Amino acid sequence: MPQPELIASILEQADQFTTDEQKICPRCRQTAVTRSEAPDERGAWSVNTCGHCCFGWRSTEDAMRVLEIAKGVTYRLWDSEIERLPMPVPLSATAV
Amino acid sequence: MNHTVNDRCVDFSVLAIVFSNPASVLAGRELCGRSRKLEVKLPKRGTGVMTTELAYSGPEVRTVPRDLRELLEQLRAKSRVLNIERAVLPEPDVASFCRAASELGDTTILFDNITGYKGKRLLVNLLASWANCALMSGLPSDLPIRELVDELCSRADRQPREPVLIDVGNAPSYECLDTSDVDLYRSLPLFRVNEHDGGFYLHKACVVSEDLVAGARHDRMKFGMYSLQVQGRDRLGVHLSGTDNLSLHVRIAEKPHRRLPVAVCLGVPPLAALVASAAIGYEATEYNLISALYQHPFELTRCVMSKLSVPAYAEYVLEGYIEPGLRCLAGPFTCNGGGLSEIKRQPQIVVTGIAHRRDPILDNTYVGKFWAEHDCLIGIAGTLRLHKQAKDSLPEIARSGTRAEGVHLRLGLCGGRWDEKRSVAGMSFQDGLPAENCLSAYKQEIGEAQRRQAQCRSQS
Repeated sequence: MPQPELIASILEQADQFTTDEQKICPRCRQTAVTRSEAPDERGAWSVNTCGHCCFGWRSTEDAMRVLEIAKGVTYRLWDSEIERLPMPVPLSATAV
Repeated sequence: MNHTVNDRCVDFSVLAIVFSNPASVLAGRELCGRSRKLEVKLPKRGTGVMTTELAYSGPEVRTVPRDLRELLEQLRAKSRVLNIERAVLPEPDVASFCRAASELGDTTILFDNITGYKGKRLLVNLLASWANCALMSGLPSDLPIRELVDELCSRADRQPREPVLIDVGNAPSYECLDTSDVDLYRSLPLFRVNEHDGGFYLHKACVVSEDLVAGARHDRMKFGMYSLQVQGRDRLGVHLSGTDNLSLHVRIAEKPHRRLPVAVCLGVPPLAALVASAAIGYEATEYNLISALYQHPFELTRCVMSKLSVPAYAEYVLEGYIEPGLRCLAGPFTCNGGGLSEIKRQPQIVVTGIAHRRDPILDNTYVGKFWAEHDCLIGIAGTLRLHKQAKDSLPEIARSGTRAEGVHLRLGLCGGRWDEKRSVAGMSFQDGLPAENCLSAYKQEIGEAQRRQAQCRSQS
């Protein structure tokens, strides 16, 4: 359970996170990442979202750790895999 | 026509339970001293809060909380809400609190001070206990589960009630409206519910959609609970199964390549959340059932950007549409029970406006391996659905008063999830809890089972 000092140190580490790294999605390695800042306390955190695979992560967390456990399933998402992913509501011919 | 039979059924339900379950007579603790018949007084309408009073023939008079805030007040009065006032990070603090609360029991937590979300409040695990579920129904918190479900089934059986539509200017849901600068990350106190979720999920989102062919009639609108993934400032991925009502509406709208208007309601009145999670069928009307459970007309209001009707007392209403022919990746997320879902190509909601109450409270929940709100919701809602299906297909069910037995059937079907200790043992460990914790839970259960067995042996 982080104490205020620990929170401060996590936020400090987040500041050191280079912006270049956050422009690349850790899951699909695409660069279509958009960034949204916290509504207050500017710099507290930002949220990054990949426009390609929709993976989202906050700057204060380790995105690679989020992907770590499901290694082989979600750690690296290739474009060829995306095409094979299930689509529960199929597209109708007129909708395409 | 049915309600005549059902009214009789209510009167005879005590006898029915007694005859169908002699053990309850022997136990003598659930039925003695309390009549099952309810007298419903007229709802109080006036300048203050409107409530429906349910007068038990027992000493206590209970009220059905009209919205989430009223229930929260009741829970506060009973010290059933844990208020976290110190600064917490969205990750990992909030998620860890949720998991700990679920692991330890059924604690409801209200976060007041989430770093980066000043002034925003987050409520989790609201209905994670039977006591809270009883309170949301206006019943005593110590009511046994079977009586709680029996009472809700009785209410559902009575005369259907129509909801009422109130002007959007008077609807608390629309006290504040933002259509110009939509940013879900800034508006909602989001957190990663489980460590390996593919994003930030809203697991108690109630989505209102309509059949575009049938038109905007509230009795043709569907109100269902879905897991939504925030996928951008104004984007929500919706987790559909392909057989649910929203999937059907998406298909209908996509045939002529039309946008499907939807409204995402967050922090809805608790009984509305229960009905939304029930999946009562395409022909049934959720709003009528909510009115029946409340025993007064459920208050709706009309969206400002579509003709959809939404609960007037929701904390947030996100208006938007589903773009036809668009599928985006959604997932994975940790499901009820602890397994990780697949990544799927799902429709995406484009949010065009955010309406909310003043000082809104986001109602979200932990979903994972431990006992969670969805276990309670699915349990009660499933029994409501089971009761309805059984009554529709077997008319004698209505006369035999087997509702309480239906609960046991449902409990039996759900197996281990209905016992907290078993739920620990029966989970799948995909989200990386330390092995020692898992082992100790198993050891504890085995030890308890051995003790129980020894007790039975010594008694016999």
